[in-house]
Amino acid sequence: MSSMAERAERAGIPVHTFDLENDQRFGVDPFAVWDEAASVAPLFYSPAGRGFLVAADYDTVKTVLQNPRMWSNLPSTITYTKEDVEMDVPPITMDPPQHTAYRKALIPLFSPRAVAPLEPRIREIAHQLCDEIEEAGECDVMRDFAGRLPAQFFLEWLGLAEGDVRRMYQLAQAATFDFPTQEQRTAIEAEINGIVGASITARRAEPADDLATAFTHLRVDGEPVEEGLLVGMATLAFIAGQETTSTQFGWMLWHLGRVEEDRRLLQERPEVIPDAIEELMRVYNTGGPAGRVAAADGELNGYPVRAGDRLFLARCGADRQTDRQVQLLRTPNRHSAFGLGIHRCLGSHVARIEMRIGLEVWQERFPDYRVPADFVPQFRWGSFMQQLVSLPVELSPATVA
Amino acid sequence: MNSTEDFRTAALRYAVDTALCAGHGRCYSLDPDHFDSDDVGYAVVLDRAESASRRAAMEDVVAACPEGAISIVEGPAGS
Repeated sequence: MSSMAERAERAGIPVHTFDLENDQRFGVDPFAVWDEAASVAPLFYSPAGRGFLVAADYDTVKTVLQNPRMWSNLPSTITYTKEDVEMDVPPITMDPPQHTAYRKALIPLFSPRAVAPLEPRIREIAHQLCDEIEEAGECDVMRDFAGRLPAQFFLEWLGLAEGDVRRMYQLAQAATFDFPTQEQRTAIEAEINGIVGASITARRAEPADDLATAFTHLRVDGEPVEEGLLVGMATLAFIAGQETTSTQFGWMLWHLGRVEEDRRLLQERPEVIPDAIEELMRVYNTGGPAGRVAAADGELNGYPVRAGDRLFLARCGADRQTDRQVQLLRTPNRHSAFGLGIHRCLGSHVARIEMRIGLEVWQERFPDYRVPADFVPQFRWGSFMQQLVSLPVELSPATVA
Repeated sequence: MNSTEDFRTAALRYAVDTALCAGHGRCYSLDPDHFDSDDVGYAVVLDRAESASRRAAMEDVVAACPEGAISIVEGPAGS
């Protein structure tokens, strides 16, 4: 049996070292690394880690994600690291037909109609955070707003408002950034399982109107869900609900704090904020968990796939190929920031509401904020995402009559 | 086969490949006159035909679907 590298060479698939673990440029200018990858070829082979294919344009990414029988999430290994680290966050770590049944059970909890009533509470939290920022008179957006709004809202929805919020946000970060060993990854997931498991147990005894209670009623094919899987799914919600939205939201406030023209556009025409959100997700795609393992032999862009081949989906670079420039009113616009195919981000509809309300409240409260001209951004990256470490801004708050 | 004249007056409708729709919700956000959400967020096409002059705008909605699940189907005018 020939190696991935040998088959890539024979098929004329280019080799390019794309190394999430060791390329320090991710800490300085991550988008340059993604753009570089996207410019190599729609599919290339990276010898980094244990060796993996990289799907680097939209069509190849889409082809892979729309074929879960060929491109599997089992084993649930992080495909692009030196060490073979597996994760356990169902239903991402499932394939059809099991995934289909679990997805069907979960999707009503996060549908557009189910999450619309959460809007007033999200707005209330956003204003509370802005009150605190106004009182402090200074602000680091990642610390004080983008990094807190989704976490505070989502933890409350998971019945965890009374817990140690700071520790819980740290845990969500630990599960998405850096490159934990298997031992560390298992410990992180175990600690989160303990927290969300306790919340589910508490809601069984005392139901409330929240997501944790909805989890207690979950049935798959008419049967209650085995406790370990139920807790695992709540753990995924815990991680994704806090971390992905805050990361994405931070990128948006970074852009708008630097580009006055775009900031003014959204103030003058707040009705286009939803369009602007899609465009900012396209250009500043957080990265997202994105590996697959071939379940069978096959073919991809002329490369002869063998079962067990690892693949990484460079969605960030793929989305930016359309245009690296932000154009808030872009039409038509499409992106893969919420993923594609059967694992499309389950929380996307609630994430969109959080970002829209976050932007509405932020520009109402701090319409003249800006990122200082001398600010040098630093980025945290890792297994699944890339994030601004900090984002200090000048508030110039509007005078309240 | 349509004559050129039939083509100009053809009625256009959207169609969604339900096997590909993943519930992103872009279509019913962008064009609520032609799409709705089902109970859990997947796309439903509303029964509303457009004249051929609307094709360009319809193609923007087609191109906005992340999954490529939307197409435009042509029928005789008045259908």
